[in-house]
Amino acid sequence: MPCGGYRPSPNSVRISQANPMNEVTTIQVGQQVPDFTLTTYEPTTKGFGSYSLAEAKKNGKWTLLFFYPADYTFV
Amino acid sequence: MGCEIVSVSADTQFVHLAWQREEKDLANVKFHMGSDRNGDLARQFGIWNGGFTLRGSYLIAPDGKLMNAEVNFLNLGRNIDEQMRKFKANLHLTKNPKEGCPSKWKDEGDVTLKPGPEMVGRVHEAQQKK
Repeated sequence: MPCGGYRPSPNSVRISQANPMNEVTTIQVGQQVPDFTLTTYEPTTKGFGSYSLAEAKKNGKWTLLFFYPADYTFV
Repeated sequence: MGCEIVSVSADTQFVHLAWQREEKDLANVKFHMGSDRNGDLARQFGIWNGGFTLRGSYLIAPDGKLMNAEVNFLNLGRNIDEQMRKFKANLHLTKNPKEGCPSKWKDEGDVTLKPGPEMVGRVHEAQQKK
């Protein structure tokens, strides 16, 4: 079969059209990360706050985002 | 060191508070604990796994460019030394844009590479220089 045997079935095409989730573009290394703001808990002050990428950029700061599955799991 | 660390999960800030207060390993936490309630940010990085976020680490430069991405499955934790190595290497490379940091680069003073015609087929020799 041509194309290494891969050909999307009409069914899978329909699923992807019905599910806009599949069309979210993933950010790649070397690309700009769109500005975002997250509500935060701040252990240093024991209060709530927010983290804004735009703010970090303005202050000349690097940002390390550290995702994990859920609270009460390991890192 | 000029880097803001933000942990992110889909939990609320209230659960973050409770977790940090309870868990002894988190007693000295100083980083921001972000709430990505609907997984919007995790989806942008392609690590939203049906309500649980994969263990992704992303280093973003002050100009907003994504410089590193590392994703582990749910069952494997990350190594902070490797995260620090990448961050230090990025700082070095920002100041020395013509250089490259090879896999064994750990800290300032370690051998870097300057890609060019003389290095073609001579990477081994280039890594021996101090």
